Amino acid sequence: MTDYDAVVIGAGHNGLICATYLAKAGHRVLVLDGRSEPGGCASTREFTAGFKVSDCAQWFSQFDRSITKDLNLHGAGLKLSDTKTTISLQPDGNHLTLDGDHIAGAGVDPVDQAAYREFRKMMQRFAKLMTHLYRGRPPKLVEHNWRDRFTLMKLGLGLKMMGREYMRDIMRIVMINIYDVMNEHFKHDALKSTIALDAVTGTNMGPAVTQYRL
Amino acid sequence: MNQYDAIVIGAGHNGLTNGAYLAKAGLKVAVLERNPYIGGATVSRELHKGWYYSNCSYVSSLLRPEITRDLELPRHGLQVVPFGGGATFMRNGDHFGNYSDHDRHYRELARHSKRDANAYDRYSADTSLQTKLIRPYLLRTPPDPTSLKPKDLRDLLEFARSFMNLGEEKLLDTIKFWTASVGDYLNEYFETDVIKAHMAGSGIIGTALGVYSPGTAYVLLHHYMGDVDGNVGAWGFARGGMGAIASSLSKAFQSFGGEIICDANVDEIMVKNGSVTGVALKDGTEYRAPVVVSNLDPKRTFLDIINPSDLPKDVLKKARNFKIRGSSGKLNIALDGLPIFNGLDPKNKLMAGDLHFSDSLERQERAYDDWKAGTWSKDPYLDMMIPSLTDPTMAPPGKHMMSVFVQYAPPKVEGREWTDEDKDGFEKSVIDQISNYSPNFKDLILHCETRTPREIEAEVGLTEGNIFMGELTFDQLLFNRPFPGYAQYRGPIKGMYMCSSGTHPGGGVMAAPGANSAREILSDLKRPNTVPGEYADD
Ligand SMILES: Cc1cc2nc3c(=O)[nH]c(=O)nc-3n(C[C@H](O)[C@H](O)[C@H](O)COP(=O)(O)OP(=O)(O)OC[C@H]3O[C@@H](n4cnc5c(N)ncnc54)[C@H](O)[C@@H]3O)c2cc1C
Ligand SMILES: Cc1cc2nc3c(=O)[nH]c(=O)nc-3n(C[C@H](O)[C@H](O)[C@H](O)COP(=O)(O)OP(=O)(O)OC[C@H]3O[C@@H](n4cnc5c(N)ncnc54)[C@H](O)[C@@H]3O)c2cc1C
Repeated sequence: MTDYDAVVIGAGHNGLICATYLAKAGHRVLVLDGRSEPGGCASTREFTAGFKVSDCAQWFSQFDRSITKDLNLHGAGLKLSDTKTTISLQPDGNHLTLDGDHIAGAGVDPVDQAAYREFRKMMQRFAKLMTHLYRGRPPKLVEHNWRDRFTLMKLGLGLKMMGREYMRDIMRIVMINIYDVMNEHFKHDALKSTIALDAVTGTNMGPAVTQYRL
Repeated sequence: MNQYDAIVIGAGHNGLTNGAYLAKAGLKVAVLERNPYIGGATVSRELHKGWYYSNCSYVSSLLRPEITRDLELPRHGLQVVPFGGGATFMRNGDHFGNYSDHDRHYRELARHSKRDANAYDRYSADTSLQTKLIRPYLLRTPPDPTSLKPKDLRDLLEFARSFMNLGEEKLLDTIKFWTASVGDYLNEYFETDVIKAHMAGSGIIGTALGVYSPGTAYVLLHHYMGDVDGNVGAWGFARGGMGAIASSLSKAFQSFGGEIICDANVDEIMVKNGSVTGVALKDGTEYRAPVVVSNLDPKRTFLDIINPSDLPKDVLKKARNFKIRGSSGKLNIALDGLPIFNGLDPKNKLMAGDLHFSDSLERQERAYDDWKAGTWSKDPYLDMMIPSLTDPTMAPPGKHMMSVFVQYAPPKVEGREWTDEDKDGFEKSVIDQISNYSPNFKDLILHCETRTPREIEAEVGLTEGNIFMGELTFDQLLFNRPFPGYAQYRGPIKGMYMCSSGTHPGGGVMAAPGANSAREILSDLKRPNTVPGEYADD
């Protein structure tokens, strides 16, 4: 039988999620993948007898948790470890650890520690705003229909609700490179480079030319 | 009697423009200048007998025509002579010529690549769409997007509408353009190294960014949005050097009764009960006025000449974080005769244009790598011109004057101050670069004035030697320039204003910041406006 309502090409995690929602809505769906295992970049492979590796992606953090719940992924076997602590190894053994708001080691002084908590608070506000955008299709800007308009309005309202100073900050910061952002907030070199890593991962740009994407 | 209606600190071209419009409205205005001469970075000086150097800025295009006409600058002695074209010399002995004649230019492009020749008109049309978008906003105060005041809302709406009118596709192109790197932008149109390199230069001049840094496509636009005699994108020489612009502005200012005081080094803006009362000079002299306008860059304005206790905390923080990195240097050279360039007939008109020696984006990016490593470029990007070919008054008969703008030179060398040896090394790398393409050049040099960011800062007072008074990236443009919340030319103290290139629409010899600022001051003083709006010329 080769007759389907929809065929999804590629069993990466996005292909699988898309197919699952279609199937959940009662469609007959086929997912095809060129490789022998599904998962694409989000897969686990036994690379030598007895040893397994996350093939490409290794950290689980950006995944939209509403989907985890919606598709009952935990019921289907997904187990997550505790949130990770970031440790930046220092040659002298006094390592820098970042664990949520908590920051310790490498001689980071209370001023930078407080700056780090402030910085996280700001990032979380910005992230909340961006989540609105990630949860839907990107709105068209000119040829918009009522749905796009609604998304844009929510975004505009979200911006206004942040308060004047935050709003000003975000309109400045989206255009700035991570090198400058780090220097504006922190003095400690290892702290700056540890946070900046997330901004350069996967781009072909260096910290002095990368725009905001933490 | 040292009592005025308004005091402008700094006789740069923006300070003079600002003073002129205030004086035209009937105010008693003094412009105070630290140097013994006026003009700031818009100046001509005779540093070698018989030769006139445009020491800093050297070509004109951005100067708003509305202001030139309104202040009758031609009557006060200003004449801008357009120059056509330019060239980039290649390592293989060939060159790419940038001809102002459209058909000749097509043939030259096609000589290097047929495909690029055919892409050129599309590139021009797309870029000129962007200049059309921005030009109407040059002579206007940027609206504050966080404000609910009717004027801000109305301006924002109009701003939004001019973008919406582009249509979905062109709007997305625009967003991409304003955030892209000049390298990526050019790669979408052209395939030939030398053609891309020739055009990319305008995207890095004066910025501490490389051809592959996001935001540099806008810098390209910043160099395309001017005009000479209505010819958008064209550049010209001010007869007698750039000092002719400052001189004509000063005459306009004086014709309205304004007063210029040189050798007046301002130490502090005096503040009492939250309002400015005047300024005090380093030598103790005081000048009083209820309005004080700063023509200095935002860092100098807020961190040098205002007592920190008079400022809100957020302003101090914003001033400290303001990006104003030096990245350029300049050589002004007196020549015994005309240099010969490999492969270019000395009679070719291109000789009078802008000449370059960096024939690929890769070489330009590597020049930027040197800057990041804290040193001057060993294979620098040069914007070299011989103004005396167009304006013989710049040098004695038969002799020539050469102006070489150099990208990149760091504000500090490997973290320490520039030394004289560094300066010599910098000079040598520039002279060697030119000599590689001109066999007789070295022998013709009679005098060379070399300016690293150290000299530019010491002489003009541009912090770190940044030529635009602050990086032209989006976090510092429009309603973000100089800082969010302070982009409407008003400072945080009553009676204090800003009018420098550190405010919208930014650096270059444009006079728009000075004019826009005057308009806001006059509106606060409830005086009739004397400042022209933008022409509907596009
Ligand atoms: C080295 C590496 C490290 C990373 N680290 C992280 C991380 O730590 N955390 C994180 O969140 N993200 C990380 N990422 C990014 C993340 O893994 C990917 O963005 C994401 O997994 C892509 O998912 P996708 O479903 O869109 O596409 P993919 O996973 O690429 O799925 C595409 C699928 O299509 C199949 N396919 C291709 N062509 C055909 C064809 N012609 N016919 C049939 N099938 C075809 C492929 O085999 C593949 O299975 C990393 C990526 C890499 C490469
Ligand atoms: C090397 C170089 C090349 C350039 N090339 C070009 C070009 O070709 N074309 C172009 O359009 N633009 C060019 N620019 C940019 C352009 O010259 C500047 O952006 C513009 O001239 C700045 O004008 P301004 O009036 O805002 O400030 P400025 O010209 O810097 O004026 C500020 C004035 O304030 C004075 N001052 C400083 N401190 C004090 C104090 N404490 N008390 C009293 N006075 C003080 C200074 O002496 C100066 O006269 C170049 C700049 C440089 C440096």
